[in-house]
Amino acid sequence: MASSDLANQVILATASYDHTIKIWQAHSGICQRTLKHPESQVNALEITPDRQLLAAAGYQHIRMYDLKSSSEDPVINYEGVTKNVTALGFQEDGKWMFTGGEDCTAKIWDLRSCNLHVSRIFQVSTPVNCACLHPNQAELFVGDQSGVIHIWDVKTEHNEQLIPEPDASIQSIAIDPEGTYMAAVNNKGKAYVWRLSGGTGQTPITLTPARSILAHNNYALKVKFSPDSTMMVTTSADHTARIWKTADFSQMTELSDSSQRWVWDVAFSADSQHVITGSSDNTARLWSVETGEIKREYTGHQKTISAIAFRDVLYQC
Amino acid sequence: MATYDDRQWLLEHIQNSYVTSDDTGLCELVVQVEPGAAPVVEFPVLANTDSPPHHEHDDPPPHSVDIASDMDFMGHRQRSYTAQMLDKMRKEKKNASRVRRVMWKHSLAPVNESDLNDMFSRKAVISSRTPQDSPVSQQRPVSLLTRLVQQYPDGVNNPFIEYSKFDGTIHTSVQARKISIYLLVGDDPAPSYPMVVSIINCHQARVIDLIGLICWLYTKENRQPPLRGGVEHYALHIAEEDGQVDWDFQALRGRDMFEKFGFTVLALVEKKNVRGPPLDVVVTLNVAGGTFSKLTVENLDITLKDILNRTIAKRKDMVKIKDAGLNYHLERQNEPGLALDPELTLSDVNCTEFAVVRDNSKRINALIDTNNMSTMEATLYRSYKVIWLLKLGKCEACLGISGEKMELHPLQQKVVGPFLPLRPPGPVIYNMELVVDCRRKSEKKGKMEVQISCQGENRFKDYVFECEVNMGQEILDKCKHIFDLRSSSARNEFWREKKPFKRHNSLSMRRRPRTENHVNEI
Repeated sequence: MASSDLANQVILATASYDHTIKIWQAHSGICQRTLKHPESQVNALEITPDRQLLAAAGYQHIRMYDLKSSSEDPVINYEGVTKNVTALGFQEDGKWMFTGGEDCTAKIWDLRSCNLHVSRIFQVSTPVNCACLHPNQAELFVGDQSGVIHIWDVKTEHNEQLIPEPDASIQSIAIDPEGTYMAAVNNKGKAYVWRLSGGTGQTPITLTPARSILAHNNYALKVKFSPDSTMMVTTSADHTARIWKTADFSQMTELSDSSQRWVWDVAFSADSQHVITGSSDNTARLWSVETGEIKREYTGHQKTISAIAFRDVLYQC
Repeated sequence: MATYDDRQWLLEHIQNSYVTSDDTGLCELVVQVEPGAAPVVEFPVLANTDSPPHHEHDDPPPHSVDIASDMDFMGHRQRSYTAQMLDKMRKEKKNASRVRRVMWKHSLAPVNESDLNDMFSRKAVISSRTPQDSPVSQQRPVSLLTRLVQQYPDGVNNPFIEYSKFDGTIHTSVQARKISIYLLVGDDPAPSYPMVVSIINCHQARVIDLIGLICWLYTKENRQPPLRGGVEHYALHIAEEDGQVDWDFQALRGRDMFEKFGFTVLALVEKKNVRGPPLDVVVTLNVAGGTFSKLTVENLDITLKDILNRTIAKRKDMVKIKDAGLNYHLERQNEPGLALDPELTLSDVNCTEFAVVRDNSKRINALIDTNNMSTMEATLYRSYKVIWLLKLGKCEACLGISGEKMELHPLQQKVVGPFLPLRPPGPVIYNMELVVDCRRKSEKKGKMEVQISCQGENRFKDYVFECEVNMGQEILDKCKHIFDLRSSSARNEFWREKKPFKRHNSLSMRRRPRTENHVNEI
């Protein structure tokens, strides 16, 4: 696999409690490779912006795997974290990586060199569950267990707080690619949506509460916006994922299957026509957004799929 | 946290924690049922909607969460714990040297402004959405995934997908067995490098599953030529390291568990009977005078006329007769006197053994002429009770002859001779290839002496025995048929040696006919 190929390929990776990460041929459902992730589950999985590496956040470390090689072992290991790393993401140029963890911090790791020339740390009072970078690459939204959303300016280290519902743990935060909405889901199954403005140049971000929906009757686990910003997907412990229209936040499609269990992670295809979910029934599924039917199933993991990472290629017509 | 949605696991965990941490002994009174044995009661307090009631672990339910059944117990006995740990540590160390390690550190030292700007510059957010009034907004962009999904609506078009679960290459934690498979697929399989297949869950896999796995990988790798059938069209044969198939052994039986075989090299062979064209048909044509011709025909649709013409064309004597104006017809070998319609096909008459009879002529009862022994019968094993004539005396013996071998077993404990009773000779077994001659030595008073010559280690050996004339004739016929069916180098050598000797002794320089019934072709 040449590096130029990777840029034009669909990459789908799933991580499971069976301590492995599998890389799939997304359209056929065939597992292409299995990577070892010993001694820890994967809490979050992400592909680097240059599509060369796959990063997996686990207990006390972030491991990076080379997507080009055929080795099943990691190539880089980021260490020195005391507890579970629960959130993971990259600045769009691959200059730095952000993580959030149960050690009640969010961290910025300098990826330009190995010696962490620049690093940032943001301390909160309870374990961090999730983190999401604003498309302006400057503000990190950090959600914690006590129900606080911290808006942290990574350059100035200035921060603000937002509490949609006290004592309801924030499970996931998402911002749409155009930077117009921010959504957060909590362990009560509620989804809160804010309209965002500003955030470019010197104008600060302003948030206007837009909607709160009872998205699920059980824990909500993940929220994501579609690349075209017209849809939002939430996943839950109620064995479903639901797709909402951002125009009016009405439910569009429910993605459910009798054998599906908790849906831990979700990803949109680049054209927003398909959704991939990972569930506790050891299976990942590819769904049609429009009809809600299952197009493919990815089976092979021995235990719960806890995280997925997906990269697609978009063709402009 | 993913285990939280498994109620059975949670209950077991609570129960187990209680039992292990209880010092009072009260747990024995409270926890009566075997942990894990009781099904989960649908407690309303467990607010979860409809968690699956059954235990869905792959392993049998462990009673304690601390004890999990280990796959490694299957198969071989393990090496010592220390040895394993050392091995693991060595491997980890080796791997670790290849892994770049980055340790978290946070320096409070100020970072210069340009560095900060480089790292944390604020980007403009590009709106990808086209304005609503734009005419291009009708066309939606398409992603590669969507294209591929549309291109392959059935996902993977590999009929062997069910066997992919045995593929060890996509699993890391499970012990896999690697087997080299030579592929003898297609009409003219060329020797090639073996395909290395790694199979897991050997204790569940049958031979047919391994065949399926090979077919799955073969199809997945898009190897040529494409496979022509399902798993039942292929068989696994034992093979040497260099890919030589051991045809002496039968193919592994499909339903057998693969675990019991220890092979590391096997060959996948396409079964012959399912391969396209049917096998050729061999027709036997008996000609007057005890000779016969064998004719290989392509299929059963050939007419008897064709068969007859082909036979005549091959026999000069018949060609001459035909030129003289006489014609032939075919009869079934077992139905003398009934001429068959020459326009019938082989499949119509459902018979492969015929007699070629001249028109206006009758077949002499074959029973008198030959012993009515077909070539097929001749190769079957038969035993005869004979008197073995030794240099000093004779003994009863059992002579067994088949297409494969000739054996002679003395039946008596003592050899009856003119002098003292002697120990009988040991049993004699010869491969039929080494049996070079069988002839009548003498015949008197209804008894016949038959001599069988065999090639020993460095010379030809003769075995002489006495039997009834009928039996003797049968033995002679049997051997004759077998000799005609299977040529052997030993026999050729025997006759080469015999020839000059014959020439020397005989005034006529003719070579003695090998048998009375000479066979032109087979």
